[in-house]
Amino acid sequence: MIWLVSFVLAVGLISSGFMVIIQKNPIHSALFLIITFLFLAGFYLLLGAEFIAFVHIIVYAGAVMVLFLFVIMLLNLRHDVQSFVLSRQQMVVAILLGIIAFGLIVTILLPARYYPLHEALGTTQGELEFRQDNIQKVGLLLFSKYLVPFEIASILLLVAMIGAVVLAKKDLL
Amino acid sequence: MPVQFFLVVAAALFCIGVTGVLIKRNALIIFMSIEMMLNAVNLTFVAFSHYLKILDGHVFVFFVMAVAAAEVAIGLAIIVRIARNSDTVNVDQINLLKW
Repeated sequence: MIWLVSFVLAVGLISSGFMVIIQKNPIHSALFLIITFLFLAGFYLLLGAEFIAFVHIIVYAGAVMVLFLFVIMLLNLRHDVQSFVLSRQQMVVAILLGIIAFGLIVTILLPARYYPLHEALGTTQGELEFRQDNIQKVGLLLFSKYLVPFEIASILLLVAMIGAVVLAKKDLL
Repeated sequence: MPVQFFLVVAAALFCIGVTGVLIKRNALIIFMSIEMMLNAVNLTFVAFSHYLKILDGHVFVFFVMAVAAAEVAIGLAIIVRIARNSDTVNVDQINLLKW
């Protein structure tokens, strides 16, 4: 049963990701990317990451893609259909490079030995303990072990906000 | 579910993003392919976090999402300025710095 769900999700994810890059209209591309993000949230739920799944939908499908669609419609790119100006030879080489990159990554991934952490450390963390209170435990980690990156991420967001406001002004500063 | 399944799916999504960056000439679609690559890496982190029964992978995905959101804000502002300046988002035609 779980194999069927993961296989369906994987097929949906790969096919909608493929549809993103072959569309001519950029609005269709953005909509297929939203569908890709929804399949990805399904994967996160399958892997027991409820917090990440919902934050993913809120941040990516709800904020980032809406921003993309705003910009696409603001720039009025519907008649910009000159997306495929590569020659046929260049297109074949690019697709072949993508397939070779995938082959290289899979060649390294598949024969590797994967040791579970509790076997490596000699202790056993219960799976039930891992799955309970996902948000609470992530919050505890964020505020204890990863406190400094958390604060630096907030400064990064502040800088990004200032930068976006500066870039959006009509005259220079 | 073996962890290799999720890793191969994430690798495929990453390589689709790479192909999108190589093929397309529209700056916005190139940017969307970069977001797809970031999400493939997120899936890798969550898959390993599930396999090792440890939550540090989730925290790193949190940070990757924060950085990606900041990058999208700045990148789209830059693309809007470029499109206002040169009236196109075709990356082949934005070649003022070419010697």
